[in-house]
Amino acid sequence: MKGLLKKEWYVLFNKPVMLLLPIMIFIIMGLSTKSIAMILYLPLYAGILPVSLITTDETSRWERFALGMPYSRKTLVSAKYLMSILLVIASTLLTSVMLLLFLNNAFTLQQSVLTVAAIAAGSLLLPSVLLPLNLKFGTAKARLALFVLLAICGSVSAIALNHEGEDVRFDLFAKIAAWGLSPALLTVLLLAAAVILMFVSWMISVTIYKRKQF
Amino acid sequence: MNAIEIKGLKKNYRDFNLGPIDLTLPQGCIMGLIGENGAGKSTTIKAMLGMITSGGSIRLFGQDIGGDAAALKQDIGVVPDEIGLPEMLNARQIEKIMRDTFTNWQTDVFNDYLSKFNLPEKKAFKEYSKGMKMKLGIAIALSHEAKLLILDEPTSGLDPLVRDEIVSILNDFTRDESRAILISSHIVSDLEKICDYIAFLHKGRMMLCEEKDRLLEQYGVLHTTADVLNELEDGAVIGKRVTDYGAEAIVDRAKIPQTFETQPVSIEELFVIMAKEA
Repeated sequence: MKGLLKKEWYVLFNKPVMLLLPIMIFIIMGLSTKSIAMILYLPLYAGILPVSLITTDETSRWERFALGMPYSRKTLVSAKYLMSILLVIASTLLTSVMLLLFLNNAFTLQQSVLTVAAIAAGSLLLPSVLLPLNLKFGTAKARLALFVLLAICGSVSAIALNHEGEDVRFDLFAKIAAWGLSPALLTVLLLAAAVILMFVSWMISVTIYKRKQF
Repeated sequence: MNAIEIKGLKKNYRDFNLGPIDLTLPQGCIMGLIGENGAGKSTTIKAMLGMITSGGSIRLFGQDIGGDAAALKQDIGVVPDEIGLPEMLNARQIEKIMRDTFTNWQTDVFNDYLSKFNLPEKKAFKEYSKGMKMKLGIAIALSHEAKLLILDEPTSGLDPLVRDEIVSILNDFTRDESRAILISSHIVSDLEKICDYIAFLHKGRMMLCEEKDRLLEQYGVLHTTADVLNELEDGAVIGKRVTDYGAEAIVDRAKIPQTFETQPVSIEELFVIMAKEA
């Protein structure tokens, strides 16, 4: 597994400028416009990155080569999921720091934690959906699914975020309070749902990959 | 112990059927898997490595590949027809990945091969020539104390100098009698130089699997006339070419009169004639 993670790392950071450029754009745009949405795109971006790793695997025919080495199919799939989790955690931490340091006027601490949890859960949702699709159909066909998913995410965030000048707040918080759900409980529920979904996705991917013929 | 034991291997596709294939490779030996393009060589190798599902039984070092094949592959060096390394990586990064992949990885051996093959450490894999890519694949396969090498068309598309170099390295590998090599190719002359065993695959069928020396002893080329060939007993003539000036046939030496003088047959001639007659 360590060798596989190392390979993913080298592939991902082969062109650091290309990788970091979107991150810098999100951060600069987010800070200059005080737009939380821009900052929150960071973990979403990180959640999509593992798909680019599958594209590289396809182009180089890595999977066939890797199956000649002491890696089981389950391990090959697990490496992609582990990489997704690590990237989402890293980007979520970065997002949290940004929210706390630079946008602390927009949210209360509780709202910040819930927002970060929600975005982390959302970011885990992307690889959970995209990885099985990409492993099953290949990256070209699965790209269509990505566009659909992004459109859904965009629509949801447009509805959920209410931009009124400098004061950017979720109307959703008021609704959540009206439902009687505490932000703490909701945070736990969101993260638990994301983890369960990711586990189910991993099981589906392993099953898909075990049936795959190379 | 046998390095490879295949019994009744079968794989059916919509437009191609492989097998049933029986094949045994003892340790210390090199087997050449010969066949035209599309004969089923790569499919056989893929089945052996669990890349495709197949019928029949495949055992490597006495262990069924259906078990913990990943652990089994610690002892196997695989060189596919296309070395599937990410093109942006360089040899140094690849070495670091392999160090965490194979428990018996030997960095010094790998470094020796890099310098022996003149492979630049910092150059991206995509900038390597086809021969260099193949050499890097072979360097990886030879740097983790593998007991079995499986090579799929390693010399295809390479110039004669590189091919000769690769053939010589493979020869060295089997000096240790606990090691074995299965090498597939349609360039029969390469295999003829190094193989102890020859397996002919044609249109998905195993035509023969024999010791090379026994094949060369059993078969010969007979230059005679069409009339003489017609008088020989059934099964004596494996294949023939008749012209206005005479006839040339590959014959089973045991089935022709001892007075007939035959010339040695090459594995390539034998394969071509058997494939044509099949």
